[in-house]
Amino acid sequence: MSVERRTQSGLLVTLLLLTALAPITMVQAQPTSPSEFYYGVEYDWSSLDDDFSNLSGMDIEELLIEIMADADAAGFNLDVGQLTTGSSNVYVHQTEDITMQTIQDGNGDDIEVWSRTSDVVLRHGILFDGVLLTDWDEATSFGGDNNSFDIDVISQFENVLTVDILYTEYLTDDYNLVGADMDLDLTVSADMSLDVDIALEGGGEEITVDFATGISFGYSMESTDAVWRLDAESPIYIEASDNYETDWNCADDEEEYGVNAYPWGGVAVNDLCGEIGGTYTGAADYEIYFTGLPTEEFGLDSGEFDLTVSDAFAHSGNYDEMFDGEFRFSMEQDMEGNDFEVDLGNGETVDAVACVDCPPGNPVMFTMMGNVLAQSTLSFGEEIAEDLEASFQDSIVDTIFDEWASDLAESNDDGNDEWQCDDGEWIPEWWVNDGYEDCSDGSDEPDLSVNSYYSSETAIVYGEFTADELPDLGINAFLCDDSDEITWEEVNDGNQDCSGGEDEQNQDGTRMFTCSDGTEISWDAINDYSADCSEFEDEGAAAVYHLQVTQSYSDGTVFGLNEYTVCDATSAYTCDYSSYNTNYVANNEFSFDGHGPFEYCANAVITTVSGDVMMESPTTCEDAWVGHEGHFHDVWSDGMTLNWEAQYSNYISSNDTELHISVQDDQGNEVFTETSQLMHDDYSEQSSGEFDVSTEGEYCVVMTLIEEGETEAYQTETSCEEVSTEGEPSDRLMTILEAFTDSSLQNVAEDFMEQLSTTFEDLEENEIPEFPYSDGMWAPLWSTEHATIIGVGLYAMDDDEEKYVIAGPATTGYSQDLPMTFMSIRYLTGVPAQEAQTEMVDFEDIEDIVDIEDHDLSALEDALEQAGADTSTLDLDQGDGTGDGNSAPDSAVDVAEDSGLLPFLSPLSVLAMVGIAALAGNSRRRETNE
Amino acid sequence: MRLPRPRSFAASGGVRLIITALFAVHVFISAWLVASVEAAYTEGRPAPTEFHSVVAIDNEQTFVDVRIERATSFFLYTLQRDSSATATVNSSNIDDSSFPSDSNDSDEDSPSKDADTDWLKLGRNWIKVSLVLLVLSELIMMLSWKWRHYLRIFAFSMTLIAFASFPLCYVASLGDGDDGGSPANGAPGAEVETRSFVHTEEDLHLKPIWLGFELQADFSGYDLGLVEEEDREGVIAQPPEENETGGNAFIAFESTFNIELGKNLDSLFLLPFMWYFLPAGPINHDKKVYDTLVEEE
Repeated sequence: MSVERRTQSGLLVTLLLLTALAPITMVQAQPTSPSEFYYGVEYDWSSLDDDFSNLSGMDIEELLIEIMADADAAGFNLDVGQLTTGSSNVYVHQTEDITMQTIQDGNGDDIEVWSRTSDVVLRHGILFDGVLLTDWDEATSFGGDNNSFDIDVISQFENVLTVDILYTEYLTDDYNLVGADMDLDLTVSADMSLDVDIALEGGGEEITVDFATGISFGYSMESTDAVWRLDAESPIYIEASDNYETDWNCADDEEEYGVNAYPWGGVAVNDLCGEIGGTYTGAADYEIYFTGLPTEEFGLDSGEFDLTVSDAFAHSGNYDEMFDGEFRFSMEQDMEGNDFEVDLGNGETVDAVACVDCPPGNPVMFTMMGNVLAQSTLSFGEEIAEDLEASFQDSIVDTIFDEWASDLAESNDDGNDEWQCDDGEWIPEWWVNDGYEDCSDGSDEPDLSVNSYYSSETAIVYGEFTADELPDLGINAFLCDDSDEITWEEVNDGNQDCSGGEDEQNQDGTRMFTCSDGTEISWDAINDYSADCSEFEDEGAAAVYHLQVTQSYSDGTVFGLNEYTVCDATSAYTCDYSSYNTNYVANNEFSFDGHGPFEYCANAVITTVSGDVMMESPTTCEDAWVGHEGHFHDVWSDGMTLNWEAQYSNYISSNDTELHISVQDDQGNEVFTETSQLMHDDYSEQSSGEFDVSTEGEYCVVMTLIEEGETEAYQTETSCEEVSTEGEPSDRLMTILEAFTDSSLQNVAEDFMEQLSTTFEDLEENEIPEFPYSDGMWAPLWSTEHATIIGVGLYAMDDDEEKYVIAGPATTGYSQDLPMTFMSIRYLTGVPAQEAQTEMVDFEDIEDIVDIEDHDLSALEDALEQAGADTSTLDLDQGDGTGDGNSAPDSAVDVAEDSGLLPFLSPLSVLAMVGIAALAGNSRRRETNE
Repeated sequence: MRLPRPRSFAASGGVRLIITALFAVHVFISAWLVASVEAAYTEGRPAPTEFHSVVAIDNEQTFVDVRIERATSFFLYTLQRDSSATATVNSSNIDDSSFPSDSNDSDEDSPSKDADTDWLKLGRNWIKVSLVLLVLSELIMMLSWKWRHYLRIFAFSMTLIAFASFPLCYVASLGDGDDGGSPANGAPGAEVETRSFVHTEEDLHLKPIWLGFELQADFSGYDLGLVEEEDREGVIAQPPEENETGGNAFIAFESTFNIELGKNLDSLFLLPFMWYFLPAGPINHDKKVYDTLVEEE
């Protein structure tokens, strides 16, 4: 029995495996009857808070109320409110025209095709209004000044996106793709504004600011008559429908063209994608504005400064480029391993699988859309750039690149420059000749490299030299007369290691050793820890080299000359460096008369005994400094006060240094001087100072260092700064800020942060609501029959394996009676989708796309009032629902056009008024006289 | 021939005072000066950027609206030009010396001279005093003081002069700002005048308009900041042709600068008419003669 069960299980597993590896289903050939279906997705942004709450368990409104309560508890008022209204809608209408027609492919050859068309309409609009009202008032003691702030912030955002796509693709009767046409119309716009009213009171001063800023931009691209023809028919739809994984690529050449099967399953379709061309009309605009800038608080004449910057571009043209694209079709079945049975809403039910990486539409269409948008936008951008740079010597890109290169060059001064190795590799320049081979080919280091540095405390120059391996280093073997070889250590060691004893001194002590240069030395001198031959061969050295290191001042005066031997010998003490070393060190003390900078250089050469140069390092020079060295840390102005701060480092100094600071005006007159002493035993010092200048202008701080006992300066540094009251915060503002600093505001802020921290800690403990679903799936639905996306669905399954459509088409086996709705997405098919698309296609503006009446700013105001906020000063525009924030601050035009106290006044009216007064007066006078 | 003139009546002094006070307040709270600039780059790299600016000055504040349209080319121009590129004025290669110079020359341009004078504040105070004097003079007209007419005419004239000179105060205050803000190009003590434009041509037209004047200024020249450093000497020596090196550094700029008094200020001119139609009564020692003449009539 058990065997039988195992067999059944094995069969089941095998069946499943075969099912997984088998083609999903074969796409049909040309449809025998045309199909037509609609689907659409709508989202109402008014539901955003609820949806967020459903998903996260966080009630935004409740959270805001708690934050406001935290503020109350901390001692200030805070009222926050926001209103979001919007609508996002996308509809797809797909039709097939199975009538055969003739088109030309990318090679110009006639080909019989049928077509199918996707008509996509996307409309998105969103309105957001956010309000933050906060105020704080410190209770005043008797006779004290009030400290308070009252800040109202209104932010608004409006965004519209409209896209219309009409995509027609052409297929052969065996479902091969030949090409496609597309009309694309895209418009996007965004407006953001921020309105800030501030009233500050402190230290007996008051400031009110009514500041507003905003930015808007728009972009539209209409590309009609986009034509794409492949150079060879593509089986992409067949393969995508037949395989669970299909990579679609554009091949670089004909050799790559074709369908390649992956060993692990799936295929790669490499197409000759051909060219895409079309016409476009593009437009872009932007506007940035600032109003109500309180100029008087920044040292300018009192008033307000309004600035608006804008530009608009438009251009039409055409493009013709190679089609480029790639996409991966990854197909999955539903959570139980079955196909979806989807109702298209037209009475037709089709099988579908989830194309998990697909967009909510035909991926080929989206790839073509990407090409159309990219090419038309690129052409548009190039035309605009050409217009802008018509008279420019360099292109804009070059200009910006030059700026970047200039910045880079400056940063290179900080050691960020790069150096190219002989093999093309790039390394930081400071790695070159540092003793370490950083290039793969070692080209960054010479055969003998130098790394030299000095100690500012000990006055010693350290030289580190790195050499490539020297040839022939090693210890010779001793050749006995019978041709046996013994090691050199065994020579003259008291034991006869050669059979004839010729490795040892003879009994009469007359055996001699002949050096390679012909010199004869006593056999007893062999292996005596002292080289007696010029090439050290008596100590076994196979080769010996001489290393000479020279360290000198820049004028050539040598302060260090070292000579070393490099060899291997039977005694480690015989040679200075052995073949085990490639790094040599030479340290020498230097002396420099006086303070200031000097330069020292180092080089090394390795020669053979006969004087032949084996390696020679480049002469490397470095800067050094003796005494105090100063540099400005900062020079800045604060109103009419010039400030400076300087730092001084001290190197190997035995004398004090006199520091002279002077301030010069822009005429070169010295308006301030100061002298101080820098002590020789202080390693580093810092000094700072300030000087109140009497007039605006450029002032230079000149720092001079003179060695004690000398009269000539050895260092002079100058740093200049423009001194002006412009741009400086006003005294009034500073007074208020100081009053705030001295007030209890900081405690209030700290209390608030503590309260806020507690609130968010409590929030973290909130549990995300328990979903009744245990599994879920996002599924762009790919019909193997239609070989395209026929809808999108969000599916879920509970513990009882009940299946639900959260959003999507009616699907067999999936219930639309949800135990919990957590996303307010509306999915349409059939007639409702058709009607919605028909209605929406004419909508272009925010007023059309969004139900403006839903954006009820009065409700927002009411909510704020209920929260205790004073909204009397708020002026949320309730007319069109788009909101306009607080009343706009006065502009220069408003002030210029203001009619004053007597708006009715005109020369005629005044003359008439005066005349009437005169007549009345005279009339009364006559009556009196009569 | 005498113009028919209404006779004085008992309440005419009070009416005149009220009207004068109303006019004074009306003028006081209105814009006193409105300056507008319409400018555009017509040739060269910043073209076709346009500047539209309105400055309105009232009794307390200065409101400035600046609108820069088709601004992108101007920002690219400022990004690309070398702001440190200058030529010295005394160079014999330069055929003019006026616009726009970055002067370090000390004498009349020294910021120390005018920097402490707030011309705009001075002008505002003068106007405020004049308006108060104008109302007081009308009050004094109700008294039997021999020189009251002269005082009123003086106060009125003072007011007109104060307003008439207010544009000059504004222009003077602009000069203060320029001096204070101009960067020094050389080291301290350098006394050379340098300019970033050469071979400049200017065309200035000044014409009066109602309660103000209009200045039309056209400027063109070669911007050294757009010329490669090694080519600058050549451009300074001789204006290049369009296709020569430095030829694309040519820039032309047209501007119209309008300065006029606030639109409500012309109501002041109605005061003399009011004096005519609402004449003041005679002073005491003339009253008898006046009464006699009336009785004879």
